[in-house]
Amino acid sequence: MLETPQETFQARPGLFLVSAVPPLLWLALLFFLPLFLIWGYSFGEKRGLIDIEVVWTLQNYADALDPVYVKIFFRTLFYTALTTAICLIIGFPVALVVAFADERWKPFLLLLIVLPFWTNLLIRTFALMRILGRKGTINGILEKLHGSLDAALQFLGFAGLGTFQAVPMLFNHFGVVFGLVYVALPFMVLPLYAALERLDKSHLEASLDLGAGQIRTFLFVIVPMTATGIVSGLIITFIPTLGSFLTPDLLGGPDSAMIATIIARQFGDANHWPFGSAIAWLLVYVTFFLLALQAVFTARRESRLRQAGERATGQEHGAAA
Amino acid sequence: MVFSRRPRQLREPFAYASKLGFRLFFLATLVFLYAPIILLMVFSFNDSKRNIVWRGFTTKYYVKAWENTGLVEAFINSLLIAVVSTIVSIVLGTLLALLLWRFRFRGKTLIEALSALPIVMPEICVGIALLVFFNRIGWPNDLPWPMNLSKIILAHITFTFPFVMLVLRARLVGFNPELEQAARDLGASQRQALFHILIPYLRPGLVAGGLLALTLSLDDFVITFFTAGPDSVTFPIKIYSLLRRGISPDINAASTVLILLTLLLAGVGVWWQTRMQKTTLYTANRPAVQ
Amino acid sequence: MPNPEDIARPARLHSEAPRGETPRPETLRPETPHPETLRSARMRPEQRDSERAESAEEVIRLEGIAKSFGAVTAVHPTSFSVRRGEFFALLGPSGCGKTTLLRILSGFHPPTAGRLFIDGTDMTAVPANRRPVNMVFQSYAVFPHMSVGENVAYGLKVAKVARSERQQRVREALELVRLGGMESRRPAQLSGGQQQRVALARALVMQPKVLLLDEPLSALDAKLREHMCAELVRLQKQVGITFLIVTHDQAEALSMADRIAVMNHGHLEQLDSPETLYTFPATRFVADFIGRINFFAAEVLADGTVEAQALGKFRPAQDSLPQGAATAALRPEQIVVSTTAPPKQEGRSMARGTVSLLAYYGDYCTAEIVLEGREDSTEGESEGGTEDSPKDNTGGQAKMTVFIINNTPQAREIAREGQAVWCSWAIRDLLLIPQAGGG
Repeated sequence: MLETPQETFQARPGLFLVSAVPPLLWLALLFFLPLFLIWGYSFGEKRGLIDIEVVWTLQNYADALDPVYVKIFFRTLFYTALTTAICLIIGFPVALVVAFADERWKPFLLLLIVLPFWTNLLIRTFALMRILGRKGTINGILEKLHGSLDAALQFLGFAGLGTFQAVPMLFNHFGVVFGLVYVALPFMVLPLYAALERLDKSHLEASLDLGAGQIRTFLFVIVPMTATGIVSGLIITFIPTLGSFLTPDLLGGPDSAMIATIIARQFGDANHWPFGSAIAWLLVYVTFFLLALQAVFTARRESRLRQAGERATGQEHGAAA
Repeated sequence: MVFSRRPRQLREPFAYASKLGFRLFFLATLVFLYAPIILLMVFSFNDSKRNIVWRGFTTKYYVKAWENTGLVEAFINSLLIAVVSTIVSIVLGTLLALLLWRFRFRGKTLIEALSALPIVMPEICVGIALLVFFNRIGWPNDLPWPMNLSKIILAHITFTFPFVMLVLRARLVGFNPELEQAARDLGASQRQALFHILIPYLRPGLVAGGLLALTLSLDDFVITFFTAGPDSVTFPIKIYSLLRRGISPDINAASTVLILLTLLLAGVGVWWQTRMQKTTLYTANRPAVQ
Repeated sequence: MPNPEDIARPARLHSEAPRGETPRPETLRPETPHPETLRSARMRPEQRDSERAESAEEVIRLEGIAKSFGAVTAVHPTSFSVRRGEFFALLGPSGCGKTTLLRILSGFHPPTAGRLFIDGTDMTAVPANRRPVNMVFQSYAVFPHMSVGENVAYGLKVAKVARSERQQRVREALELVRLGGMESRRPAQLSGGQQQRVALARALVMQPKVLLLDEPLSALDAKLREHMCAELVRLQKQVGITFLIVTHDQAEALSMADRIAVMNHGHLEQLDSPETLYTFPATRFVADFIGRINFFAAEVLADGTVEAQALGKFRPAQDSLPQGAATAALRPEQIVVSTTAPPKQEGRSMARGTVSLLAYYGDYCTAEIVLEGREDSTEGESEGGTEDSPKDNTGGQAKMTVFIINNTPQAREIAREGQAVWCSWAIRDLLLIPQAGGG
């Protein structure tokens, strides 16, 4: 590990100020100030079409407890948890393949997983609409199969299958979760891959050497030793999915609204900024809570394992020298 | 029985990539990720409104998309926003990365955590916060082109430069500070050491971070949606409004153009990175000490 | 169907004659003598004893085991056996294939060719977790998320050993490695040396047929390494398990092992006891790799005498040397240095020289002595001198390195650069290695 220079303000005040002031000022003005502003608005009251007065009322938060919204909160939570779980189930084997692939292939495989992430989200969602729709690719294929099967059955003298009913996959819960998984998968694979990549392979070999099989090694060595990666994968998938706007909006039906849909509505047709601000801040609080959870978990885990890990890597360097 | 069975071949225990089950799973995942995009691109050339039956090759939807002035304008707007916000992002991101890597000061951990916040904050929150902010300070809505894009550019810079910072910090971890000290030892000023040694070392990170910023800016819908004025339309916003009205094949064509552009950017990025790694004069590691 | 016992026990292989079964391209010269014949002239009684012990039961047998990674060959077909209860070392420079061989034994690399027997059973296709061998990893691979006790108990738990017995055996294993009472500690709380002991206990508790140790001392500092060397020998004697250690450090291998297999470029160069390896290296590589040695270009003449650069003409102690180019080798400690000409003696030879370079090591010095060229010596053909090592006397000035024990009256005389000296040695100490063995 290379140590970083630990210069102080006194040593190079010019460079310090030049590198500190512009980015930090930008963040303060265009990120924290706006967030603070809507934090204030969330305690505000609407006084006309565009007039808002901050009166420090909790009414907006109380309004959020309306069963209509609570139902949406729970639905959002359900979508997000389901999406995160599916991503973990798909992501772990994928990350295993990439992390344990031949060194020559690794960057290529990783690129294959990440590349869709570089494609425009809206275009990807649109592509899914064309696949899942009533007249989309999947239903088209099913219709063909149905037709062939129907003809075959009738030829053999059986009763036909009747007319083809398109499988509804769009504008419903299925469509939303499918889209959320499609978008979030790289978020899960990357931290898992990073954790597996860091894992000293000799631990797995030691487990096999001591008689354990592949499954036991996976459960008792790989999973505990990549726990921080798994947790950060879960959280890094959970947070953006929780705040999804486009996916439920385009792939969902009338009963697929998520939190972001409510927020957007308050700044659109519903035109109730204080209420929208309050819900947005609820989302921010949840985000903070999850980030803190991850930080605590990682810190506890790392402090328990760090020394050992550092020693192990130090030894490897020593051996290489 | 005369023949003897060949003993079962032993395999490398952790070569998951060579196990059939894992291979099929990986392949299925790739199909899941790529099939929608590839079908979209293929059927943008299909002479039919439906996208299951191939009815012959045509480029008429590209012509149609090209003739759609609203779409072309939106595309130009998106490119302009992306380029400008990328340039500013690189500058701000580099400064922030240098600050956090180089200096020791009170509250550094807090600043570190806060400066990564725009990356994890839900887009919808950032979007409405900026909407309220611009509204509150009374940013004019009726500026002439291209100044009407200014709000979007400011918003894009805000969420892209922390990404540039992260990429650069990852690169800085491998920098050997003794290189800069060696330059000083050979008579370079502090400023020269910075520009002759550190900045060239950062170049691959600058390219990678820049490409990331460019893509994120081209990609963004939610934050743009809330900061765009009525007459400042970007490509994703245009597509969104077209989609709301129903799927039409010229969206296929326009999307394909953007996908290819992104692929080109990613390709250039990867090519540049490998070239840099091959030709770079800096080694991340110190020579092993016996 | 053939009887599995027949597969498992084909004709006994001569464990010390790897070249017999595996002809190497470089050693195709038919006249290459077996190391056995080279040494027959000077066999000492205790060596004959060790030969007899060869009939002891073997616990590991490799038959033509080879491994290549793509186009790269890591191990050429290799055959040898490890005897039950011995301390066996695989020695060689990095990249010589010794670690690959160890990983083939433990089951992490499937061999490309050949068969592997452990305790008489064909284990070539048996996965790592079903092999009765256990390994101490170079990085120790102590599971960081388990306590010391859980680490040691892991293998027993997998094997479904009852709880009470498990606890008992874990305790005993930890006491064996002198970590008694540390069950509940976390690996992060242990020093590197202690972690290694955990790794040792974790493998030993399984009572393996063979304990495999991958460079176990490389990560320790010099003092601890010396201590651990002795500790490993003690442990091996105490538990009676066969130890197979992989190392690149010849001093480690010489001091610990009963027998050493020296590897180079994926070939087994020589397998012998430490004394035999040092005294009678079979190849130039072995001679060079183990200890210090001086090489001189030489030629074996038709009448059996040898003409060597700077050493002159002499009749070697070895019989039946193949005619042609060879290398004469002499260990520094076999050379006597004096400022005055030593008296002529039957069976001894001498040369004049000048001390050119001194290196001080505290208890002794090494001195490089430039020998005066001898008119009657034939100039060595420099074809064998592909390596540019200074001790490789194939042309130009002949040099030899000698040891001088410090703090003796003699040393004070000799250990001066530019000092004219006489070097003398017993002719029977000159070792002749046929060119083909040079590599």
